[in-house]
Amino acid sequence: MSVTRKDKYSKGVFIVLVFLLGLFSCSKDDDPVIADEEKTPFTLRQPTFFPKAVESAVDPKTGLPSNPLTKAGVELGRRLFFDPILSANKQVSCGSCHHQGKAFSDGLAITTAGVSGKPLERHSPTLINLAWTDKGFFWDGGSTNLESQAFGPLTHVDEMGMYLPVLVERLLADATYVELFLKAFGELPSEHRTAMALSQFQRILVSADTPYDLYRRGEQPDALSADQLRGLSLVRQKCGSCHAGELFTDNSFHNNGIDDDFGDGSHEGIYWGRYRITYNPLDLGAFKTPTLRNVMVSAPYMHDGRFKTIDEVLNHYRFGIKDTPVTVAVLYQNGEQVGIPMTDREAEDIKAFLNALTDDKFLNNREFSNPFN
Amino acid sequence: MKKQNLFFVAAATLVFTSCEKTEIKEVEKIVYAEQAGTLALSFDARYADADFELNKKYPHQLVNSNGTYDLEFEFSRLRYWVSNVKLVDKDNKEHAIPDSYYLVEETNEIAVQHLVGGEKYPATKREEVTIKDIPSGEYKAIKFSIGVDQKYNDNIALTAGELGSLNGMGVSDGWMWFTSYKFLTLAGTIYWAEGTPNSKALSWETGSNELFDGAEKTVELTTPLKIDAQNSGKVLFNVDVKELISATDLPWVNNSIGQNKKDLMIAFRDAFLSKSLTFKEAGSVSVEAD
Repeated sequence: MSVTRKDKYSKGVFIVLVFLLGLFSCSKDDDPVIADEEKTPFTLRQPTFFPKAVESAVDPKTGLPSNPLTKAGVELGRRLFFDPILSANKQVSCGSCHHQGKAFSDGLAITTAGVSGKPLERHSPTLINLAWTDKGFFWDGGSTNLESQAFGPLTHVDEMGMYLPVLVERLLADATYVELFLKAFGELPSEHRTAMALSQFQRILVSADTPYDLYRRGEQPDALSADQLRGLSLVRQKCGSCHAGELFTDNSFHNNGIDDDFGDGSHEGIYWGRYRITYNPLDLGAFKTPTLRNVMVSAPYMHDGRFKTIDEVLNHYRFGIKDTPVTVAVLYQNGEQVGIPMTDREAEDIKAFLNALTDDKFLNNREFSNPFN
Repeated sequence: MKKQNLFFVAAATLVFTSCEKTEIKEVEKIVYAEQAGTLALSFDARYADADFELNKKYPHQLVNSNGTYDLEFEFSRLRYWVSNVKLVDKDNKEHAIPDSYYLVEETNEIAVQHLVGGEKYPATKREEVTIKDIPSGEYKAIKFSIGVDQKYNDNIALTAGELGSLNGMGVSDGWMWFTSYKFLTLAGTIYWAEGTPNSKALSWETGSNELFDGAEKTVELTTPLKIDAQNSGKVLFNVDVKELISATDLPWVNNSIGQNKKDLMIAFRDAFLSKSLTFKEAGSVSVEAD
């Protein structure tokens, strides 16, 4: 048997057999040849001024991160991310609702691109700097880590609708995937390794090359215009308590006053926001702060995509915040008047600065793009 | 061609497994020499004095502060995780069994929400757990928890023992809360002739890291249990579902217990640990030498 044969299945079997030969002795001296590639770490970019990235959860058995980045793992994850084989009808991939050109959001308030064609219950979030997301995933933080998060959209009846045993069958029957899983993990395809590979790919989606970053790092001191510099200062002053730091998010959950009625507990409490997870009454209507990075290419806005433009968002914070017992305190001036005061000119400067948070390198990076194209 | 290749893959899986097992045994031989034994834990689901049966109506007279009500309970599923098994020896030393996560269940077939082609989790009854490689010794108590501890509960992509999303409790048949595990579940139907409507779905569940604190059961054995290469141990427990119903005085109102009713979740867990689950007997059986 030769690996140069065109039949992909034969190739997969060959690799399995090579791997088997290595294992027959059960001795560490006889590691299969692919082991070197398997172990090649992928060094996560750690941009200057960013906080330290969050490692994958510790594996209780080894005391080490359970899902360290490797080149093979990231590459497998990228392929899985864009492969519709992961959905029940083989037509929906993660990439169906996470478009790179929109910072991995989809430009829709509520998508119907899932396997059922029914509208989902929340807006597809951007996927940016997830390696720094330390307080949970989903709009309500219901998943503690990226690995576990993957099972949500994979199995949701209206998203990818996947029955995991069928997913594993499909991957095992695909010689390319058998090879890629062996390379990445030294194991045959499984549902939990699928989640791990997807997470590895998502962790490398680092956005840190905006005009703001070039200015901040001193690489291009004139990267920001005068308007944008004023806007930067205004964002830090007026938006920075939630859209904080270099990530432009505190990764936390706040009620930003877009609703004043949280009585609807239907759909397993989907409209309750963070309260659905914590059952702390103060978390009613609280949702995760999205990053401002790439905000100008990721409209519409909010967890349900209700605001079509950035002007609508700014108008909300200036004039539209609802005064409720659970509206976050930082949205009140002197503890009394709700709303963020800003002049029209200030709003224009803020918008000018938000444009300086668009990362063209990120939006066009071939390493993040669909490998099937 | 395809089928043939699948066979190769299947064969490879088998070899992987057997290889891994060999390696593990080699390690343990160093520690325990030839003294390792086996322990079987059996959880016999009961309804009062009879064997517990699914799809059977059990009359239940409810007496609470409002009066007396004649209800009927019919069950479709009883399921829980037994985890973190520890054996206490004569010298009060605890021996934790690594990777001890076992799914105990009695369930009807479960339809899975998806579009592929009607896959179903099959009807399953599993009441006995067999633990191998128990260090030889005499044990006077056994401890275990109902549920999954935080390090695994927070990350369903990690595998240990029977943990893993394909093993019944995972996401495939909806056994997940916000990408963590459910610990204990009892499902079925409550009937009340005078109610409107006169039946309601019963769905009682526990889960969440908070509920794992206090989820440990300690069972003192009446006589020490000898386990070694010549003697395998067996411990029998009864799980009385009738006692589980006592978790609330208002089952008709509280037909659904879950994360939004924390106090009832705790009451349900505690009813399981302190009333429903009882020690029946334990003993050693001599094993014939190979």
